[in-house]
Amino acid sequence: MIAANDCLLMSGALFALGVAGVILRRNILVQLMSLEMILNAANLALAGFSRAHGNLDGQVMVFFIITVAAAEVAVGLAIVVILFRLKKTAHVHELAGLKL
Amino acid sequence: MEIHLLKSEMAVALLMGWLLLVDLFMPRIPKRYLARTAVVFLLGITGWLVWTGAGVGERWMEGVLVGGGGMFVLDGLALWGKEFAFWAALFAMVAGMRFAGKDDDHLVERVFLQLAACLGMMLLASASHFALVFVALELVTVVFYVLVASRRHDGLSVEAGVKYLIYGAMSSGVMLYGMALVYGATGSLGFAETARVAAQPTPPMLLKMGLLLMLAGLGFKLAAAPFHWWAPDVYEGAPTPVTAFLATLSKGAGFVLLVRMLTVAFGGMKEFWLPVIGVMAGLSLLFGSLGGISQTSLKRLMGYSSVAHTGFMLLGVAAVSCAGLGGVLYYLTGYLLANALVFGVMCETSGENPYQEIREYAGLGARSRWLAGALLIGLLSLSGIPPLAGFVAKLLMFKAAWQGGMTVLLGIALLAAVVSLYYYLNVIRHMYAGEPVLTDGLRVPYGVKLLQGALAAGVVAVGFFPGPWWDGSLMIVRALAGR
Amino acid sequence: MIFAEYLPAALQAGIALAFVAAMLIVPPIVAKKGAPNPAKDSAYECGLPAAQSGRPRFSIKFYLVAILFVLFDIEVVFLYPWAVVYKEMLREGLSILFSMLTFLAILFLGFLYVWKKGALDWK
Repeated sequence: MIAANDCLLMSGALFALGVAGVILRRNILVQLMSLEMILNAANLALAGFSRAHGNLDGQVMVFFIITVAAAEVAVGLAIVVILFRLKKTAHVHELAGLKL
Repeated sequence: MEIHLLKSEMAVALLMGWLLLVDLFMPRIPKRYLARTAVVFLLGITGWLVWTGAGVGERWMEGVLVGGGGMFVLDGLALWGKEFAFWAALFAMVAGMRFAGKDDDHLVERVFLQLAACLGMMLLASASHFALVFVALELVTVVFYVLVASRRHDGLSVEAGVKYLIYGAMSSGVMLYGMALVYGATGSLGFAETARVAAQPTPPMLLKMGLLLMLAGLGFKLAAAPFHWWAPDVYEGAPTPVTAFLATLSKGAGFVLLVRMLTVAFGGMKEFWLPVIGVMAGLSLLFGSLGGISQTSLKRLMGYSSVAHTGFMLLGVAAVSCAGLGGVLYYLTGYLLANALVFGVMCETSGENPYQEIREYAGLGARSRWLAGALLIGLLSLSGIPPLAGFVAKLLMFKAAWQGGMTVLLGIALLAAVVSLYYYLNVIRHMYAGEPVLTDGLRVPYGVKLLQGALAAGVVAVGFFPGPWWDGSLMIVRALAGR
Repeated sequence: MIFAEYLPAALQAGIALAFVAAMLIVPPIVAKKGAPNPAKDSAYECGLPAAQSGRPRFSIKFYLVAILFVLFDIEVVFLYPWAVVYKEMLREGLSILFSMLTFLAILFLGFLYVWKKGALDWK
């Protein structure tokens, strides 16, 4: 039997890994993957809590998150492709036109 | 089915579909005409919403219509947010058409996306369920990723798009995780159930963590410090009309959501979120005002200015009184009008001054009295000079903070107001007293003059006669808090 | 003891892990690694020298198709649960049918756009 607590631990780990990935990695594609990981951490937590509470709200929310994540990733990849055409790079540290 | 509650949203969605279909199957129709038609239609929908909203007056303001099992509410705040979305989209669309030039192949797509963001904020204003909050908020943000990167041949625009995408998506993820934790604590994604659990004497730890994460994510959308670092970069890199849209619509959307979420869903946890909002307000005020001092680009300056304004508005939220929250709505009204003025002028001059260097504004006062006047009124209102809208708005915030007993924050806010006064006045100094770079006159079409005149009149009117605006805002917030 | 039936699997996993570990650890100890030289790094006796990088760049069109695939593929997330409850919900009225038709119409609009703009042409 998988308890909600285990789900929460697992999703917390995924979330932390995702955030660390976005902040630490410098390749935009890897950052996008880490973003997916954050969203999936939320998915896992929602599914786990949904089971613990015995209602389906959380699982329905997961459907919407999957859809939105797909839209986000599509837009993200498109922007990265444009960036690559313009600058021949997919690394954040080479984006120095704007101060950050 | 309560589908009739979605009338205004459906009207906008139909307009979007119509626009796309006509553009696809009748490519001979000039895009400019299509874009203008869309503006006229949207103006019509706006007028209709204002008319029906105001016509039924009390019922809309006091009462509340609930649909979708408590997912969608139509009350004063929702109506206010929808109207804000309409006006922000209208200004951005007009600015975008002025900015685009005659040979823009993607004008219709741009208008389509702006309408989509408008639709997102309309849904967000009514959302009282975290699923709808998430989808509506993402509709706004994903559209903005595209819009920010929409000048595909301009490296800065694409770069800004990438930055906004990465950090925006991360903040959405953080916010989403917060929602998941709230769901874990309450067993429901609705605001009503959340409010019930939050009102307990000791709210569960999960709920607190969830709220913290959501505030962090929302702080990003609002450009509130310490999550503000993207704002100057993205504001500078994005095409000017998109920056205008970003500064008005995404801020309005964030605040409408924040006000509804904190009063309706988390009203019982004031002691918990009050210090968080207070710290965010103080930091935003400091970073926004001090960061703007050394800027040389007006667009970047507006980025810092927007951070500072977020700080002022958060001050009203932190006051947790009807006066404070009503002040936020009033502030947003003045902020929208003044920003529309400033960015409108920036779009007019963007052809000769693509990077919006402040020193190239030198001599604008002599080149076009009209544009200079519009910029002057907009900047003066933003800096809070009496008797313009920005002054009354700041005064309301200070008063709310004073009544809330937040003397430290009040001190920071006064300091920030003085410091930001410096950088706004610096632009005005350049405009009227600087050594001109260009001297030829600027031609401004009558339509633009009319719009800017109306906006300037609006800024003055909201400042001179704050009564109706203030009463309306107060009524909305009282109805919200009373439920 | 229910874990008893997993014993063979555990044994096999243990042996596999031990084997892999041994293969990774023992050779560097037993064999001495000589200095690398070009002849050693080249393909040994048979095979051709590498003509290009192992990670070739491929056409940007693949990305476009992949992005479109993701977008239109994800609709199934909603279609599947809809199909499961469809028959049951139909008794309560036609709204379930019309809500899905609306959804598909919006999706179709996007498809039309993609098609007319030529994103599906492989040229």
